[in-house]
Amino acid sequence: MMRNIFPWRRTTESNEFEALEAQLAASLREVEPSQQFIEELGQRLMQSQLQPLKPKQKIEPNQRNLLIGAGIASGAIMLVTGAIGLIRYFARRGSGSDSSAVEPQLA
Amino acid sequence: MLNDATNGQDIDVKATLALATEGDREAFGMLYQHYVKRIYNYIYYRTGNQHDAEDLTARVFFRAMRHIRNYEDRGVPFSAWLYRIAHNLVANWHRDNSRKQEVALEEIYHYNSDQALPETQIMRHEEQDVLLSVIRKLPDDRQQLLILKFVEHLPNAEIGMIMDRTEGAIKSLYHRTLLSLRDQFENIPPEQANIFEPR
Repeated sequence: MMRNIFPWRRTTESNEFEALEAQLAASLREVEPSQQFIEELGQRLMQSQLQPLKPKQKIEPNQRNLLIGAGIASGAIMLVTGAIGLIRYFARRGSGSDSSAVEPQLA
Repeated sequence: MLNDATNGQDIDVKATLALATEGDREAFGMLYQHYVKRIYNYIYYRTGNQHDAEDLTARVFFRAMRHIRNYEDRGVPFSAWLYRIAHNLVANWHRDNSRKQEVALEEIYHYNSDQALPETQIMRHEEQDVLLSVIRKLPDDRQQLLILKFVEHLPNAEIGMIMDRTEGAIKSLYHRTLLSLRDQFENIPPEQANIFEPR
């Protein structure tokens, strides 16, 4: 004799969720962790060291100015280097001495 | 702050939490005793085995203890903070181990077995087997919702705080989850959905 293990499948639309919820409630029940596990973990937690908060790194005003100055200086050097590179590139193209601009000649 | 549902020791969560955030280890121990079963249950149903549930539960509380001083009361239950830590660790566990399909369901039977006749227990186990395997195929948020609702018996409002959604969104997600479960069960082949009735 066959038996449907999900009787709620046969129920009407109005109460099928009730049956499904009952099935869920029956299957998803609370489980008990072992008392030994709870106690051991509790002891490990109590024995471990609480890490102190890391103090926020304070930057003195003169240090801050120094850092800002260094940033501005390095940025300026990069800009100047880039500009010089561009000027040299266009100067070479303008004078026709840029080797990369020369078309390869057939022998 | 809303009152957390009591489970275990009856404590003043807000006052204990205030002490714990100042580094009071005893206060943290009380919070641990208060929440350990709930967190264990959540992780147990998400992983499906006792060993990983214990390991991840321990990690949740060690992580909580490391960061408790940074905890800020933003009007949500403290349990929501713990559940989020647990949720993240479980997600990492699934990602690292790719074991979603390999979880051992039989251990759940051990815990849920009662004094019923062996035949009745076998039938219940078969029902559970199918139901839990279908639940484990649901998206993470739906699994989380079902566990919080049926294992933890939390109201929709608190589930919403834990999952960072509105109560209405939780109701909607729950309805969609039931529809999805129903559809999946309708698609189970008859040979899997029927068993022989014991004599």
